[in-house]
Amino acid sequence: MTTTRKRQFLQRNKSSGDQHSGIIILLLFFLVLMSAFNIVLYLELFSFSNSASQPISPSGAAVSTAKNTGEASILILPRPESAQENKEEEKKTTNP
Amino acid sequence: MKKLSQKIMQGKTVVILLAFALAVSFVNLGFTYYKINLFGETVNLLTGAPSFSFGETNITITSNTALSLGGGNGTAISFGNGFINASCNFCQLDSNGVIVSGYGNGSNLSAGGQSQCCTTFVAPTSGFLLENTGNTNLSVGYTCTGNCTFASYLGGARGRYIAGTGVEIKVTSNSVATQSGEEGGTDTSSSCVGGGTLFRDSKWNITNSTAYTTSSFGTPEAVYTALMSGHWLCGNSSSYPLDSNNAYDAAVLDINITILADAPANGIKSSFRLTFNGTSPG
Repeated sequence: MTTTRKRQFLQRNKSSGDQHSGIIILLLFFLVLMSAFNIVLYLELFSFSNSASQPISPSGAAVSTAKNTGEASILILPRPESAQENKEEEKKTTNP
Repeated sequence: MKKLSQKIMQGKTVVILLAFALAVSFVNLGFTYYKINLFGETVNLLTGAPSFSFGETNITITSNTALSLGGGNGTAISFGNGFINASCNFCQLDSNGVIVSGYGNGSNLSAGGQSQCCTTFVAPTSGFLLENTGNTNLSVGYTCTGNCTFASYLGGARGRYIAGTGVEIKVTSNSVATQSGEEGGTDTSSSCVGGGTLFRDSKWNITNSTAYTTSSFGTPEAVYTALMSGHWLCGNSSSYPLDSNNAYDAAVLDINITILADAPANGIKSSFRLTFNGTSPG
């Protein structure tokens, strides 16, 4: 192999090595990105399963309660004659 | 030269391995996303009744705890307004429509002319209708807020004329009270009877006993007892004898009050609120 051909061969392989490095960096970047997405999804899944596991209660320890409220009311009025008496009393007080 | 070729080969291997790892990661991401979506849809279906799906296995627990309050008066019982005639000692009103006039001469009448003492007060013709409208057995209790005592609800000094404690409640199976308004028709047999191992803890029983299974009955069905801040009415925190079967799932809570002739008339409506709790085992 002549010196010129050797140089050409080395030059070609160098650029090929550069290409590989670029692809590797790109792939590594995507791999890290995917891993990050996966971690986020797993976290979401765990928070889901934690919140959902609360009411399952297979042991039957938890209880459910239904509530309803009723009201009983009454209004007691003054007896008419006592109201009259009160009125007269008031009159006496204001007009002696 | 050979070393250079090896380096190139190693570089290619790393690229292939990384591409493979990336593909696996991508598939994993898609799978996880799909599973989360599936799980989310299942959880969204929940409406009080837990139902969960995990992968290939389906578990569906469907229990609905519901206690309805209805009847002719719905959620309000009003004894109206009025005063006691001067010639009387008291007027007794019951939410089952019964009025008793207590005259000054000592005679008590509950038949014709009974409203002479009670003037314009009203005796409602129906109490609170409690019904298990869910699909699981319940225990039932109440708590009272507002004017829950005789002194605060009505008052008056002629205590010797008070029937019982002046403000009383009783519970009766609706197969006996036959009050209309039940879902699926009026009961045909006694409610709160449990069944099986629950039988010994059954029947409507107004009590505060926590050791219900071994204690004697508090106030049995259809018997009046004093209104308090709270009571169990059927079962308790560990016994749930009110069945959801339409033929025996309801009862009526009646209220009986005695208004004395000297009850203070302050012109303000007096009331108490009963919150009924239907509890089921999870």
